[in-house]
Amino acid sequence: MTDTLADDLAAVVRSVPGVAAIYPRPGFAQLARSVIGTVTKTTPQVAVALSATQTRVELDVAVGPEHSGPAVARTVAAAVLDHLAARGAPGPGVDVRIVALG
Amino acid sequence: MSDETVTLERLADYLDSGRIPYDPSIEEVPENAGQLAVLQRLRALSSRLVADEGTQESLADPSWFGGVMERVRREARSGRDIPLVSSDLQSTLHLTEGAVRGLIREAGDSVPGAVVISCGLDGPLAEPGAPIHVEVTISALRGIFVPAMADEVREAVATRLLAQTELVVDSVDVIVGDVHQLGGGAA
Repeated sequence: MTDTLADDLAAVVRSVPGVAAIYPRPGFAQLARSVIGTVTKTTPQVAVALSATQTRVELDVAVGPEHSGPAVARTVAAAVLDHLAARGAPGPGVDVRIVALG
Repeated sequence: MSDETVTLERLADYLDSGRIPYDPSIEEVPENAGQLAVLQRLRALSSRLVADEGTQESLADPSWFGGVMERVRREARSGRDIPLVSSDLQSTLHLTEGAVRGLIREAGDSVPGAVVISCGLDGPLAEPGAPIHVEVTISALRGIFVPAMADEVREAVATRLLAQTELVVDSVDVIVGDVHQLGGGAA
């Protein structure tokens, strides 16, 4: 399920205007293991950690020229949370970091 | 420096090969992609240099070039996380200091004849809305009125920061570290 969810989330994020690239968050697996205890598989771009009560999504994003980094970050987060809600994911949370501004 | 950072030689070889075959360890690592972009801009500028004595001693000098790229490599690191205001408790949003430095460098380099040597952000980046100070050191490659170029760099940096971040920039200081003469019809 997590692989599919991560793939779907990557597609959702890529469709947000201003997103030039998505990068995996370095060290996410270790963090998720310490917080949640169980780490699911990650895709190359969007990391998803899922437990019975929490769904944690982390990703790094490059923003293209002519776009506001903070505005894109908010739109990405909202799109991810909307998708998680539609999927009925428990305890959703998202961490978006802008790592490049074109 | 990240474990994923590649050497300058490897970046140069990759550019020489026309970025073929596609190398995800360069293209898909933000630090490396940023350095590659700077290296490409520097090469484009270098190709336009007049072969006069002053130029030969500066840009053709591997130590000058290496010095600029070393600063680029250091500043390409993610650095501090700059928190962004979120409208809900489920979202955590940040902007890296490295992303801001990259934007400043790109803005400065976009001014004809200017090469950003280094840039610094001074102020409480972790406090949203707190004013910060930006300092940009450039090499002026256009042998014309340098103060005007410095003004252009200042304007370009301020404009890009205003458009693409929510940083409150109190001031942008531009320091001209050195000056070179450009050819190829440059003013």
